[in-house]
Amino acid sequence: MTWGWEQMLFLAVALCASLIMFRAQVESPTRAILGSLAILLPVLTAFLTWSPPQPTLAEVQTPQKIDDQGYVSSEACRACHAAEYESWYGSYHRTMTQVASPESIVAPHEATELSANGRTFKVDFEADVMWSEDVHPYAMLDRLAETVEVLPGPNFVSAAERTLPPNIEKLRSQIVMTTGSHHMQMYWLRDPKGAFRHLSWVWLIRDQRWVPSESVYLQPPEGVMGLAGQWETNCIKCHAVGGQPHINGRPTPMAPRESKVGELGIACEGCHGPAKNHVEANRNPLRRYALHLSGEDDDSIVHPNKIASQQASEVCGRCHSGHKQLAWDKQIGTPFKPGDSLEEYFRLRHYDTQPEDERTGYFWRDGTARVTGREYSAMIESACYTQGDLGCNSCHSMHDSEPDDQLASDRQSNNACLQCHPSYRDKIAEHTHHPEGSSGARCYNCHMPNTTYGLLSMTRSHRIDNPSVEMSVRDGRPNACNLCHVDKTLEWAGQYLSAWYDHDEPSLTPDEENIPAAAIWLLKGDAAQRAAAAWHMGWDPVLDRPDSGWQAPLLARTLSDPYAAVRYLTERSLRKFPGYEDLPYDFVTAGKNQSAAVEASLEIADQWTKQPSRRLTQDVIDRLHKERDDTPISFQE
Amino acid sequence: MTNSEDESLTHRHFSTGWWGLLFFISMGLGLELLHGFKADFYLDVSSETRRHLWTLSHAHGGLISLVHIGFAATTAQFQDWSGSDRLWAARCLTAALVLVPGGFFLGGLYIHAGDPGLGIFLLPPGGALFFVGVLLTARGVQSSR
Repeated sequence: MTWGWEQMLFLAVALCASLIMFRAQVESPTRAILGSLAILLPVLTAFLTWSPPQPTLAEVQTPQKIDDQGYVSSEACRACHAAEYESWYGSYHRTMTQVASPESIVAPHEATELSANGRTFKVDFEADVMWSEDVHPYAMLDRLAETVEVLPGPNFVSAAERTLPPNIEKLRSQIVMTTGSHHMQMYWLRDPKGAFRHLSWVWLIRDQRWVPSESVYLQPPEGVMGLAGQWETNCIKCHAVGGQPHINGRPTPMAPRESKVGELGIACEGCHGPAKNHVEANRNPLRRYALHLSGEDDDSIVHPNKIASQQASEVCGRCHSGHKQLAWDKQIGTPFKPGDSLEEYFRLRHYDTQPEDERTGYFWRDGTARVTGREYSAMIESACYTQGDLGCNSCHSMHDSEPDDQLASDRQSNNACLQCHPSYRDKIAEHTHHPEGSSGARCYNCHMPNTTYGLLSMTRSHRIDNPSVEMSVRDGRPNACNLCHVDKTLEWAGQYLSAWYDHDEPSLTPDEENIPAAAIWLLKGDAAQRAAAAWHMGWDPVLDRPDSGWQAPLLARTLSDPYAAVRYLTERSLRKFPGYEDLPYDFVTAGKNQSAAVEASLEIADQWTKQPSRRLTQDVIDRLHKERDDTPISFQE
Repeated sequence: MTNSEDESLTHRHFSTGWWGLLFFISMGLGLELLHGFKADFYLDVSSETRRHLWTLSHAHGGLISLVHIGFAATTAQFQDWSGSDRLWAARCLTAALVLVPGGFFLGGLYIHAGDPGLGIFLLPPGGALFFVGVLLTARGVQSSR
């Protein structure tokens, strides 16, 4: 124990109390001494046994705080902005990256041993500390360097990982950090050179199960994301405030590093910038009251709601875009701070400027971003942005919203669009040709369909545009009409768009005229189209339609899709149909020991196709299935 | 100062003290009701400053009311303490009874990013007057028999 003022004052007060008692009892020294001891003994015992709380090993091992960039952390903001702090505290932004602890680890706190894709994996808990036994990251990296063909995109390696030698070195390691808390959670260990490596298994929160990490990305079956995933060269850029990699030497996977952050997770200063100057300036009450009473903005900090809409959106775009960092430094990361011009430090990826072999990982062929986390890239392609004043804050709010989607409390419905398009308020049904209040009368169901893949789900496109059959035919991006009316053809959608909105009727192939578009995308499309179709066939508004159900046999055929992510979406949709609820099927291992389950699903499908409501003959299904577009697609989430 | 003026001063401060006490006890009940009905404008995280200031207003109001009762008892007990010091002590304590709890209350009415509203500036003069009032009383009691 170190002696400081606190300890000395503590002892002095205890001594004073006993002396006062001694003086009061001077006539009876024995009683006085006993009385003094009665006070002093427990005080001394407490004093000698007390020690300040020590940081956990996880706290010591996680990135330490940057001390020279003006970051003060969210705790400093809390003192004056309690409500904003609380709304942020409840967000998934806060829990994007956390020190591993019993509270932050959402996987069950129990010993688990799993095996898949040629490797075994164990986790267990000792005194609330999570330990893992996984392939040693160095052994994995050596293996990759020796035998593996590196596929396009960061961290993707070939199927050689699946044939790891059985005696490959394992590493037992403490889990020190977590990523994610909403859909899935990844776990990080720290290797001997200081690099953070994520476990090769991921905990799916919605499904409450562990899966190999390669199963959660939309990528070819031969593409495997293993332990090579690195915090310092990738995740730190957006999953922490002001992340600094501090990679020593060439930034190779094996280079030693000692990363630092302003704060783990996406915290106050991620959007408002380093707040040290703001905190210091506002210690002066005269300054604060001058600002309160004058109504002037505080120029000591960036406030995204008080700067130009498009500039504010760049704060979000710093992470929610596809980009290359122009000024990334292996020591300090990016110099970009909120309020800076995005284009000064980042080159946004555009379809036209993207190398051809990387386009499919980001875009539909019309240039619309199709991977989650690229919302800014999609939004800036919208007319609402280029010709209007749309910004992220037009619909989203960080401090007045529910954690899911963070839509502002008054922007959950058509209000989001009607704020700029008020003339439609009284003619929703007339404009949409759908009954008011129905899913077809919701602006975003038509203008922001779920054509963006990410985190084993489909989310809304943030390129706000009109449904177009021509676009679907030309660029492959599924249109909103056929994603809801999954039993209708492109011809059907084209005729309605022509009659209602004067679209030109596109020229179509016989299949496009006769076969439901969603069926074509599911059976014949590329992996992105298959994912979108599989997800929509189990989408609630689709299932609510009276003639829903015919799609189950098609989904059953897709259970054997080569892409694990497509199989996952298919399984989730299929289980919503009668007969499939308890199908013994696992998307992770499907195609290997799951063939029986797939066969069983097809048997059930046969029953469906014999129903009079069937839409497709088995011959057509088989033909489309054989024509599947197997162009390799690796989505860069 | 005549006996009737002495009695009037004593009576006035007893009266002020007891009525003040009643008022601030009622205020305390009002604050409890706000808790009971989970009033957003009082219990929200963003209202932490308001809650703190209104609690201080209630507590200081009650305390200064008690001081008024004590002051009245003091003037009755130490009747040879008279003159301008006693008069100023009475005025200071009366002003403090308005300014201190009033400053806290008004400061909590409007909140600016965790800062109290303009009313909080009533507090420093109120506190100073309270201090002077107590000081004059202490001196008066010390100098009288």
